[in-house]
Formats: sequence, C-alpha cells, structure tokens
Amino acid sequence: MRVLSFAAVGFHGREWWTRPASAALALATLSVPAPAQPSAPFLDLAPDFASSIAAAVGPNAAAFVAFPPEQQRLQAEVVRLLAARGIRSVEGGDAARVSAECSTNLRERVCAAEIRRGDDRRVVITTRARDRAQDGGEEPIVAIELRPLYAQRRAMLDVAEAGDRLLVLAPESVSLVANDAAGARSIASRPIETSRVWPRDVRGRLRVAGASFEAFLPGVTCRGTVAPFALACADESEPWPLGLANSGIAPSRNAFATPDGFTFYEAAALGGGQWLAVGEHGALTLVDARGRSAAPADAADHVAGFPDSCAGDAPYVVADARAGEPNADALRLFRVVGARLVALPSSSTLPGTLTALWSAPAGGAATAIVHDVNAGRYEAFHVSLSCAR
Amino acid sequence: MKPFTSLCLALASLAAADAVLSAARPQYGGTLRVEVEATLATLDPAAAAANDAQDAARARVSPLVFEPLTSIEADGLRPLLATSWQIEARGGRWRFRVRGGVVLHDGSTLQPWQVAASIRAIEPAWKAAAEGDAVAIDTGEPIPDLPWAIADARHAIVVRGAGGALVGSGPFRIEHVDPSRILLKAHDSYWRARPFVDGVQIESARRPEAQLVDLEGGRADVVGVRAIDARRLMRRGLRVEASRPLELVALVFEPHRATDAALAWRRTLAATIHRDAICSVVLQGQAAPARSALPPWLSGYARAIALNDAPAMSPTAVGALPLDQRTVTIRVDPADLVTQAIAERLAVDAREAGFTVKVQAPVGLAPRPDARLVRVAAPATTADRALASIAERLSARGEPAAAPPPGAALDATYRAEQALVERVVVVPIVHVPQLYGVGERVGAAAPVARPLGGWDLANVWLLGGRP
Repeated sequence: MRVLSFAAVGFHGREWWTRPASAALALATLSVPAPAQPSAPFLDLAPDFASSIAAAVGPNAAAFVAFPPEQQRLQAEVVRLLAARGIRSVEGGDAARVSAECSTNLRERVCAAEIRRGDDRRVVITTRARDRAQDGGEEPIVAIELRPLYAQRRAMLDVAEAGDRLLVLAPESVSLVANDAAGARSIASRPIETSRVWPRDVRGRLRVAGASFEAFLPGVTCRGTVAPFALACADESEPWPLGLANSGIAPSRNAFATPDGFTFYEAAALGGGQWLAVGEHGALTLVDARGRSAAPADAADHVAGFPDSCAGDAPYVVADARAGEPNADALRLFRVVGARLVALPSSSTLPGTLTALWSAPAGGAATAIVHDVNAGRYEAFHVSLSCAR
Repeated sequence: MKPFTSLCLALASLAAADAVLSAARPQYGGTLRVEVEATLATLDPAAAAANDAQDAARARVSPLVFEPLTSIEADGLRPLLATSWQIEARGGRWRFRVRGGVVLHDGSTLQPWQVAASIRAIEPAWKAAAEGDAVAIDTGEPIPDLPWAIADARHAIVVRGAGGALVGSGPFRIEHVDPSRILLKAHDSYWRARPFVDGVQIESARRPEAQLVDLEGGRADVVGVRAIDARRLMRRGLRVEASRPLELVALVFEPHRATDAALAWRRTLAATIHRDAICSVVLQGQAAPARSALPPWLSGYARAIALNDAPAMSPTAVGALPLDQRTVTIRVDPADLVTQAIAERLAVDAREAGFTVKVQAPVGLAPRPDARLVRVAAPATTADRALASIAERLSARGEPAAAPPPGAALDATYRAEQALVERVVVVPIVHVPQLYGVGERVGAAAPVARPLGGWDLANVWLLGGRP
C-alpha cells in the first residue's frame, strides 16, 4: 500500500478573541482573488521552471524574462539558472520574451510562462503539490517594533549602542551612557569643539566600530574611543555613513548631495544597490546605479530601510506619518513592490515629533529620535521589524 | 505580461468591509433569517437538482446539515469526517479513516458502516465497506484524486433514519422542510462546537428584489445580492460580502456563427468587449475581468498566459461586412438582470466598432440569436475538475467542449482550456463572486460568506440578545 496523503487531524476550536480584530481587512483579503504572491514559496520550483524555459527557448539563445514586481527575487533566480544553462538575459532584438508568474491553485503551486519569439509562442507550466507549511509561509505578518534606548531633556541627534554602553550625540557633546541596575545615566561627556555655528536644523550621526566611534555633523567630523572615553573633532566634511554615496552635510545646511548633485535628506537601503531617498519637499525617490525615479507615495521626511527582513523578497520601509494627535508622529510600514510603496497595516504612534530616523547602513534596524514637546524631552528608540508566520 | 487586474473587486470589497461590525463578544441564541432565490424542496444531497439555481442553493444549505469526508478550503484539501486517507498501489481502492466521536443529529455516534452506506447510496457503482475504524472505497475505474472528488456537497455523509429522515453531522439539524421554508436547529453536540444561533430559518423562492427589501427592512439577516444591487446596500450601511469569483459569465456563439469561416468575425466582436468597464461600472466593482474560463485563483496560470490574443479584423474591415454580419443578436435569460445589464454594455462597446447588437430577453418564442450570454459555475476544486464542470455545463448549452480527465496534470488542463477558448466560440467576459447582504443584527468575527462559496452560519451570532 502506498500512502499518497496523510492528512493532519483536526480543526481548531473557535477562539474568537484571538482572531484579528480587523474583520474588515480579513474580508478584503478573503474577497479578492489572490494577487501575485511573494517569490519565497516558489523558489524551490525555480530549477525545474528554468529548465523548462531553457528547453523551450533553445540552446545558447537570448531571453528577456519578466515576472511581476512582487516576484523579483524569483526572477533573479530564474535568470541566474538560465544563465547557467547558457541563455543570455537580453531585452529586445531576437531575444525570446518570457512572461512568467508563480501562483497557487487549490491543489498546487504553479509557475507558468509564456514564451514568445516572433510569431512562435510556447507555454511551460511547472507545478508542485501545495504544502500547508509553505502556504503558511507565504505572507509574513510584519510589525514595527520599537525599543526605548534613552531619554534626556537636552536635544539628541543620534544614539548608538557601543557594547553595553550607549553613545549619545547632542549638538554640543557626545555622552557615554551606562544602562545597568541603577538605570540609564550619563557617566561621561566630551564636548564637540568646533568653530562652526550649527545650522538651525542641526543633524548628526554616529558610527561605532568596535571600541572607536565617529560623529558626523555639518562640516565637522569627530573621532573618539569608548574606553578610554575620548573625542577629537575637526572642521572637515566627510561622507556620512548612509550607504548612499554623499559628501556629508555642508556647513549651515541640512541636506546631503550625491556625487551627481541629487539633494536628499535621508536614505533607506532597499538591497540590491537600490535606495529610497527623501528628496526635496519630501519627495520619495528610488535611486540605483541606473539613475533615479520617483516612488509614487505620499511625501515623507524620514525613511528607514529593512531590505532583508522577514525573508521576503520585497524590502520593507518605515516612513513617518502624521499621527492623530497634535505634536505626535507615527511610523508607518510599507513594502516596496517594484517602484511602488504598498502600505501595510502596521503603524506605531510615537510620543512626539520624529526628528531623525537613521537606518543602519546595512539596513535591518534604525534609530528614531523623537521630541516630546509636552514632556519636554527627547527619546531615542531602536526600530526593527518583527515577523510572524 | 497580461495585466489581470481585479482592482475593482478589491476596491469594492474594501468599501464593503468598512461596514463590518467591530468585534463583539459572541452571543448565543436567536434565529437567523436567510433568504434564497431557488426553491428547495429537499436537502437530500442524493436528490437531483431541478436546475442550476437549485443546485447552487442546495450547495449552500446542505453543508450546514451534512458533512463530507473531506473539505476543500482556501488552503487546499482538508480532512472533515475523515481524519486521513490512503490509496492502494494499484489506484482503485482508497481507505478513509473515519473521525471518531462525531455525534449525529439523532444523538448516535457516526460509524464507518454508516459512511459506507452513504457512499454506496450516492455512488452505486462503487464498492464501499467498513474496515475497522475506516471505510474502504473501491471505485473500479481508478480515480486518482478521489479525496477531492468526494469533498463536494453531493458526497456528504447522510444517515437515513426511520421514515426517511435525513440525519447528518453538521452544525444544524433539519427541523422542517417545505418548498417555501426550511427550519434548521442548532446541533448541540456538534463535534466542532455548537453554533451560536439556536436556529436558521431559510425562506426559499424569494426573488432578488424581495430579498433586498427584506434585508433593508430588517426582516432578513442574510440574503443573496446581485452585483448590480451591491452599491445600493453599501450606501445604506449594510454589509456586502463576497466569495472568491465562482462563476463565469461568457458569450457563447450559436452553431451558425461558430464556423471556422467566422473565426475572424468572432475575434473582432470579442475584441470590442471592455471587460474592465463591465466590471467596474455595470457590476459595481463586484467582479473580475475574465480572459480565461477558469479564474486565475483556480488555475494558477491564467495571469501568466494569454489564452487567446490572436489579431482581430480592422474597423474598416468590419464596415465592409455585409449587413447581416454586422448585426448581432445576443440572447439573455429574461429573469437574469445581471446578464441583461452586461449584454447592454456589450452592445454599446460593439456599436463603436461598427456592429449593431440587439439584446434579446425572450419570455416566449424568439428569432434565432447569434450568441447567448450565459453564467456558468466555476466550482472551487482542482483546476481540472473545475474546467470539466464548466465544459460540461457549456456542452449542455450546445457548445461541445473537451474536458481534461480527472486528476489531469495542469498542463493538460491548460491545453483543454486553450482548446475551449481559442476558437472564440466561448468568450469569457467576467468572473463574479457569490455576493451576500448581511443585516445589522448579524455579528461575526469572520465573514458570513465563505471564500470558496456558501455560508459560515455556525460562526454567526445575533446582536441584541435573544429575540
């Protein structure tokens, strides 16, 4: 006897109060035909799918492969596998045009492609039985997670973790903060000695590398060590550690510029050499090696990138949004799909106005600085994404 | 890549979702009032349905009372009264382990021999027998996807009691059935927990207009809704819930227009159809444009592959056609206002291309039409079975269509679908979901409309306490 299927037993009890409160979202989700799904659940089909495409295209041919924007990772994998089979990825000319998409029906996971070259048209379909575990992994539940780092009355520009201590950058100093059983407290402070007059919208950034650190301010760069705690500053502009090429903030200004003259305020890494930058007037702009393009979305002052979070194939971005109450901002989560920002349900209301949102250069985390006008203090938060499936 | 957008459906669903009640503590008690258009004289799954409407209505009501061994859910095949299944190597004999502890409506516990008897009653050609805690089914001809085949309402397990009473295991038991009204009572010992409501009263043979009025007047809690009425309900703050698209609306040409010589002519007429406009304007966002017989969620390939995009005749060529070829008569069901509205829109679109389209909704004899606008159910099952069902129903309407064999590989299903639509004798237009209007006193943490069709009435409660 051959066991073809051995189904798991049972239905779970109806625990109403554990279900998502947003019935509206559930309805919308259930009601509409499933859109193109993320690539991750289909990556295991890629070798067979690429093999079928390669057989249809023919040896040593050229092909232009196009998947939906949601499935860029899968597209990259299929292109890579085709290249390994000697098929060049070329657009135009006599290249075969391969329109592909992976999806599911009730029984199977399906990758289908239509291959056209001139009047010749071929179809390839690769399937694999659905697996509940993989189904469950299709759409991670992503939420913004905020972890308080430190709060103080004086203005803060950035906060960075340095071992078990915190470095706190203020316009006039860098402080070393201990966080132990006695609570978070400043244990040492070193002044930023400069002849510069700070711009009205002064900005600053810390970079920690082992026991040493750097502080970047408009027209000023400081270098120091945590132990012993020391700091030396020079009136010189250095590129800030944003990932996106820049020459730092010029004295008496608050914006960066790329080598080709693009002015931006913040930049979020999206992975694959792509960035989402906040340009003039808050316009969100996609930047990569090929150039820049507008990202159709509301304007924002702050963005942070999370390119590899939650094992998805599209990067996530956190941007600021106006909260419902005065003197308060919120963080809003988006997924970057092609050139679009798709809003996700997760948002977090901040206790004040967001004054800085610094992405970790490699992405995956960020530091938010919030000014709580009502309480008269600045607070720093570590921003990350939590993923559940 | 062909854009297959269901944006209008999504937008409409979101708009409807705005009206969803906020979560409240579920309450027990009360009688839910439901209305359906078809006449339901019996809930016996083995009884033949008089027509498609009755078949569809029974497919909604029957699962409230009777349950099959397996169930098809949005995430695939799931166990129901069976907990597992196996197939013997030769492929013709299956063994389903029957779930233990399932209390039937008469208070007894479901036994494997009762399952076997129920299977034999609905499939006399099969051999079904109890084997310990399982039932063995020998189908004779191998059915490689039997667990899928027996997940439908027709194969639900029915224990026939004394005097012909129909005993099931579902969340509700039958209290009374007559052609105008069905009364169901909550099954207190239901194995998946008692429903919230005490009973369900289903008024049958209610015309759509009357159902709307009853819902708006608070005399009904769940009614069927036509897409053309969805906006009206939403404007009144009532919920409209939708399944996934489960029905194909297609233009089917009559034999005298289905010749190979008329292929370019059919393509030209088909090319005039503005599916997005039909979806968003005529059907008020409650539909998805269809360029394939199977909805993309059922096939898995329809978004990636164009089934038919051969070139059409140029507008000047249309103008040069003889008059009788520029005049097209489309017949619709006179009782079906949805297809009538779609046909009127087809006429507008075709007119811009140089055709003259007459919409014919005859109640008696009428001149021979050139095409019919038909609605065909796309059942929520495997792609091959869904396509076979569509092909069978189209064949019954005069368009011979090849169906893929049961359990066919997906590329075989694709080829069969390609064969169905490439001659442009069948022109898919839109896929429409089942739509339900839900009254103000209905509370539910999940939608009343199940994604794959039917109702989830065991999960519904009534606000405002016991009436």
